[in-house]
Amino acid sequence: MIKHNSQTLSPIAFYGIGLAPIVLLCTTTLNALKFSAVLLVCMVLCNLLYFAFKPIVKDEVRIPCYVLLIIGVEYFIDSVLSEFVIKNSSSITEFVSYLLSATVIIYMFETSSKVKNFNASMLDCVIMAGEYAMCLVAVGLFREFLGHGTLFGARIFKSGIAFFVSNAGGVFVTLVYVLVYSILTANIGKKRTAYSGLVDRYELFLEDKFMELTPMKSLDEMVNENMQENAVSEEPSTSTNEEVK
Amino acid sequence: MKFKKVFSAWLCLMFFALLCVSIMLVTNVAFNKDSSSDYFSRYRTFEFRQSDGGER
Repeated sequence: MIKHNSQTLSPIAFYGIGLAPIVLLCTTTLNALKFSAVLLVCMVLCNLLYFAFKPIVKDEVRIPCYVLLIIGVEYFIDSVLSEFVIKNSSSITEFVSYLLSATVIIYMFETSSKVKNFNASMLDCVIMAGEYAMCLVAVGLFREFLGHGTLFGARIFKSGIAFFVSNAGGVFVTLVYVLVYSILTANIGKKRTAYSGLVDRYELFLEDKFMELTPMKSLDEMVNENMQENAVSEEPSTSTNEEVK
Repeated sequence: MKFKKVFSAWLCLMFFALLCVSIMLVTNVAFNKDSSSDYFSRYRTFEFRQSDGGER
């Protein structure tokens, strides 16, 4: 399994792309949660289909294949949403329109194309979607709280600051999120390095202890032992020869 | 050799295009959609602009 490296896989935090759905769609937490759920379902379905036909996929045309799959899956999701979930079809138009861009961007940064294990690939896909969804929800929550003065629709302040509802406010909140995310991942990376260093040292320590408890024999001792063994094995054969004579 | 590689990549792409169209057709049949109706007219008038919370 390829270990997930958040620094290379989070497109929004480290490359600043994928901003359109965040800025234009995530004005409320509920909106962000809905979009995250749709994104996760879309990515899991695409990954399932991709993995089903993986043996015939050429690595050079991997991204176009993903795009074609996403178009099909999106059509399916659009139909399901408009048929069963949301009665007002115009409200899902935005979700589905931004879904393509978000999913394609995430898939451009995936590294699981060489992973042959199905579980690892699915885990990678869910982590990628989860990271993006985390950004969506965090930005949506702050924009709703500061911009509208509400939280999940419940009013907390009389009025909010209109700046945070605007596109510029969305970009500002996203940049703050990126800053916090970068600091957190850098700290986690440092701790992970320190922890793996400690584990390595402990393994070396255990190895030394093992060697101390079972000391290596010197070359002379080994030669002596060999000679003794040879002598013991030769003795019975000589005695039988003498008996025959 | 290069032609073979390009041809196999093209075949792979065509296969996925076929798969995409198949998914769409199966969805159409499953949900009994009529493409001549104005079901998708909402996409024809769609503009990229800020969401108002999906309460329109």
